[in-house]
Amino acid sequence: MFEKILIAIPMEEYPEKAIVRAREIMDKWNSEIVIAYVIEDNILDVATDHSQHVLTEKGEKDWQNKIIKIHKERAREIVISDAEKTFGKKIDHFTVVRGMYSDVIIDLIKKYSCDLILIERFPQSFIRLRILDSSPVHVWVERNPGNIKRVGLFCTNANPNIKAPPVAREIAQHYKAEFLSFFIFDPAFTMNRKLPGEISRSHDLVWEDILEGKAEDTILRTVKKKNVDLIIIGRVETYRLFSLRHTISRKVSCNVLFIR
Amino acid sequence: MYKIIVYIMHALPKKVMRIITLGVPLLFLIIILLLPTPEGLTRNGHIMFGILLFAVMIFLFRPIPLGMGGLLVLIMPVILGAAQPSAIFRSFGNSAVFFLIGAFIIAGTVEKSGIHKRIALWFLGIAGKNPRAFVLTTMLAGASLSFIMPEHGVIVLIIPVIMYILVGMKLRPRKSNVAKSVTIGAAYGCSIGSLATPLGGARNPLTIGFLQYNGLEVDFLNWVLLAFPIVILSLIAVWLLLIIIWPPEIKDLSEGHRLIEEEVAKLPALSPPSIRIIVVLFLCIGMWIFLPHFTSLDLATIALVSGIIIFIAGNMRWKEIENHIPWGIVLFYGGAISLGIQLAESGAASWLADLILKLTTHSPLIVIIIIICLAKLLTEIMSNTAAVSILLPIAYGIAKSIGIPPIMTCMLVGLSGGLAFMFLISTPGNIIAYSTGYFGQRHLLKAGFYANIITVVVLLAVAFTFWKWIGVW
Repeated sequence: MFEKILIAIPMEEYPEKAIVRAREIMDKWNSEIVIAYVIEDNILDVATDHSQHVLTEKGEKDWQNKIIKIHKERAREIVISDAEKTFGKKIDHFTVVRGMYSDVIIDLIKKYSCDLILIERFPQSFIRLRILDSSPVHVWVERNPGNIKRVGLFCTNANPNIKAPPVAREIAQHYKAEFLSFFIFDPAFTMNRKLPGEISRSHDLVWEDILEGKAEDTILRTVKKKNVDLIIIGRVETYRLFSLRHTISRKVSCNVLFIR
Repeated sequence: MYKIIVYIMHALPKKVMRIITLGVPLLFLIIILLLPTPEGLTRNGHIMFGILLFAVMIFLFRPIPLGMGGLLVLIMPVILGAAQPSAIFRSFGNSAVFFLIGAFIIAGTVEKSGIHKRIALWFLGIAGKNPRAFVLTTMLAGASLSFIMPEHGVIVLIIPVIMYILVGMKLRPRKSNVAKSVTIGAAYGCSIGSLATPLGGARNPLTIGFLQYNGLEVDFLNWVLLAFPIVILSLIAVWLLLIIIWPPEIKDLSEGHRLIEEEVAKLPALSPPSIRIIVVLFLCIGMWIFLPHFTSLDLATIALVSGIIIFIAGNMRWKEIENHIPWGIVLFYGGAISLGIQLAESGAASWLADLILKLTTHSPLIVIIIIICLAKLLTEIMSNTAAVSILLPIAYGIAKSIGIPPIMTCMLVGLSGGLAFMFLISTPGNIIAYSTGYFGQRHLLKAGFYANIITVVVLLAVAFTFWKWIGVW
């Protein structure tokens, strides 16, 4: 597990907490690190869009080229050296790419065969959270640095979560953390009352609690009540305007690992 | 709610967004036209009022490029029967449109010669090793270049120079207060500096053109006289604001100073073409200041004469001139000025002015505060030229109704329209500075909120003291 970790650094935020966490994961699982500095098209596009009436096409191109050149320089001069200081070694793979944040990540996962994406949750970066919908591998959203003492696995009747329990258990073991597992019946989905028992038997799980209510709210409430440091959630399809993934990553104050 | 809207806007395909953002304004226009004409408003005024709301939404949501939006707004009164084609196209051919063309040729020449880099580096160099002074000189570099060329052109030119120095100093994006103040300061400096002369932004000649159409002359020197105190006071106040909210985390800028000196050393000696451009530039400014007093030459004629001299002197080739004139803004500008004129002529502007006065008060101070705040609000959410073009006829009508000189309200609209600080979309300068990655939207929001308050106070103080002293009112 976690053989190759991808950290995509957006051009406007340096994910310091995510990098520190990546170092920790690297030490525990002996992972390789891939760092990509992403020059985000949406920011350049908005700039171009808003300046198109005051700049000529040539003016726009010249300006974009200059900005991209300096961003590349900054990535090499500052970003990578900061990251190398944290990792205490030369980064295995470093690249500067241009594109939409989530699209670029998908391409990089394929290129480097990564099995974990580590991103940091910034207040304004909700557009980047689209990666949660499209990622083919696990996504770790780092929010709260520090030691992980309690790992909370959340399963719902929306999805059987067959991959999440073993991953959650392994992480809890590596971190020597307390492992708590919860099952939530969300009334928006079919209430198969046998499901907790089936999951429990097939994964040798003992539910800490079986709860009922809207999944997002119940998870947020339970995390707060039980002081969970890392939430582990399996794949949940988008079933409301903002999916469970989005709501949890936007509102929760601890770290989240989405299992694919 | 805002996040949901932004998310949906990002999620929807661009074509769908375009249909929605074009369809909704059209629907609004149809609904307004179907409503009975309000009392005190002519049918043509009613149609123009509908077109005004349509234009506000088109300029706000931008379903089509602003240049096309300008053309659409230009022809709509003809299509809806509110004006004759000859009147519409006559208003498009306003002298201020030609001033803008001349100004773009001059700006292109300055850019080609590299004089802008010399001026920017000179300003940055005088800061020495003091980080606070560095923030100020960055603002001054942007502001002073915006005296002679459009602010958006300036920010595009100076941001790479500034970013090169910040990268060289290894300042961390988002973390470094110096980098935040410097990049935001560069954008604000350009915006504030663009108020100083008619060359700083399209809204300045737009204001002059509108006043001229209504028989009020504001020449180059008059404009500078009215705007310069606002520029100086705003620059100082906003600089203090930036260094107070983000105190520099470093005390010594030796590395930055060394990089600037290195860049200065790399500059080639002034070439004869560059010297010729400087001479033409000074000649042009001299002509703008003096000739209107002794001859019938106006700002536009002088700008075009200067452009032609630059071309004949061989400083610019035709292809280069073509590359430096964003025709979109010229078309947009023509449409905007025509909209203003038609609003005034149809009586829609004075009807709207009376409506605003009925809802508020006749006190000049309160009315002027409302005008400034309206201009600032609109310029924060749409193109500043669009905001000014929409508000000028209303401000003119309000001034007439309450008996204060229209030059005062119109100049305040023209000047406030250039002071957009809070949002990325407020002005291209803000988002171009943001693309450096050194500050976030929340930083711009914070600095912009206070900068707006400060500049409203400065505008009011200068309008009610200095302008009174020099006899504007």
